[in-house]
Amino acid sequence: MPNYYDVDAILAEEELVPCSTNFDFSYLAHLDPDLHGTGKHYLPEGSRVKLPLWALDKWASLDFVNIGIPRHYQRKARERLEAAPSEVNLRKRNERYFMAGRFLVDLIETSVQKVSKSAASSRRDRLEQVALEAKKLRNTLLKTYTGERLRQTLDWSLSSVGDDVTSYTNQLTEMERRLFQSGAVAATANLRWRVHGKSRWLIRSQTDNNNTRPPKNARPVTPETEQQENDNKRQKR
Amino acid sequence: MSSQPPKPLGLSVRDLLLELKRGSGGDSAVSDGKNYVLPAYNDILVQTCLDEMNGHLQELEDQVSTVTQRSKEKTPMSVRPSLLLQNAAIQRHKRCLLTYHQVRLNSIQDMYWQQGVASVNKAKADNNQNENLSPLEQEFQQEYHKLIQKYASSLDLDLHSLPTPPLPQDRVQVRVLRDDVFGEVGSMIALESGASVTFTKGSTHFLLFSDVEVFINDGYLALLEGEEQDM
Repeated sequence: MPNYYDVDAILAEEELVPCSTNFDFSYLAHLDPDLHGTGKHYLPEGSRVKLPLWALDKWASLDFVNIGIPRHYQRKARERLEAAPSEVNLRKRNERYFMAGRFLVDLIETSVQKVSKSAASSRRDRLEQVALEAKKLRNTLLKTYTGERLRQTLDWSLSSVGDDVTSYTNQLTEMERRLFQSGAVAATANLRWRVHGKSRWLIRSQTDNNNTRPPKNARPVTPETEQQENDNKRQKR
Repeated sequence: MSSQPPKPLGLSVRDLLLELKRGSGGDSAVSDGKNYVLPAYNDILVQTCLDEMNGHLQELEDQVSTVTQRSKEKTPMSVRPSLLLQNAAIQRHKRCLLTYHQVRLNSIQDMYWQQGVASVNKAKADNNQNENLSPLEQEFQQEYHKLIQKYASSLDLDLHSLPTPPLPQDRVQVRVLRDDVFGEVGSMIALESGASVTFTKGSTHFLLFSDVEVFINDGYLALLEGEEQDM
């Protein structure tokens, strides 16, 4: 279970999921934009609405709705992702692609488990199909996260100290960005230590403020040390 | 029920949290304590969220009372989803609001430990940080400071001086940031060890660390890193 206070987890749960109602829902006509002109006050059976994950949790486990999979996680998108994992701009689809995907899969699997104990057989087939899709999605997510993207992230974070890498980080989801940052912090600390030795460690609140984001601010900005580091760089070459 | 236009569920609370993430000046993670700048306490938005939550609560109560009025034994299936949804919305609002405040309080604590007593004193002095904190949060900061002081004095230990490891050399380079705090501008200051210096703004000096440590902690001098410059 995610941390109650985890901001990223909360924001990831906002992911909208399409679902269709299994029976009439009273009072909830305002959820479906198509029903506005009709003056109805309830959601008829089978209407498709999009709701965030946190709203669907109870409904799914009580079999009030059939959950579909959002477009970004469906088969086509998945295949594209598997084909070229490092080229895809996951941040554009959803800033927390992996987290939301994980919650989605968890939701589907738990709800299917609970519901299939008591559902009729026809419904059970459909549920199983959805569960199968969910499992495949989980596999895809795992493969994507730990495959090429991870390798590239590690590579870039550890070797591009002082370069502007925003073109790369703009493509990364939140989880990947955190990894990138810890790698970058470690790399800059390493570089600082190599260049300046132990005397660096004195400065706790000043330089550290400049050093957690690798682009542009990889080194503290006092003029003497910049000059010194330029000298060192020239010496290295 | 109500004929309001369909506002997406949980929009205001989401905006609250997004503001928190944006507050760090870019896209560093919220958990990254070092660079973090708290955005101003968004009282209006918090109030909006509370109002929304109360709205959901009210709707829930209304729907429940309508159902119980019919005095059937079981709640009919068709109303259940709505009840659950309102409940989920209320829980969601609660979670988001609690997280918002929790994150802010944590970052206040982090700031305190990083910048030391200077942050609290500076806050009183130039009102810099204070603009971003609500009055209650400022109170929290003061009380936290007092709490730590009490604990430190009972241990007879200065908790803030611990993280700094001993210096390889006893002299350091410093640059003067403010010269108005040392008495008359341009006057000679006598340091503990007996040396005397004149601090003018922007000048650099090479002094014993024990002498200048106090000034650095208060923010009047800036410590220059790197080795000694042959200038």
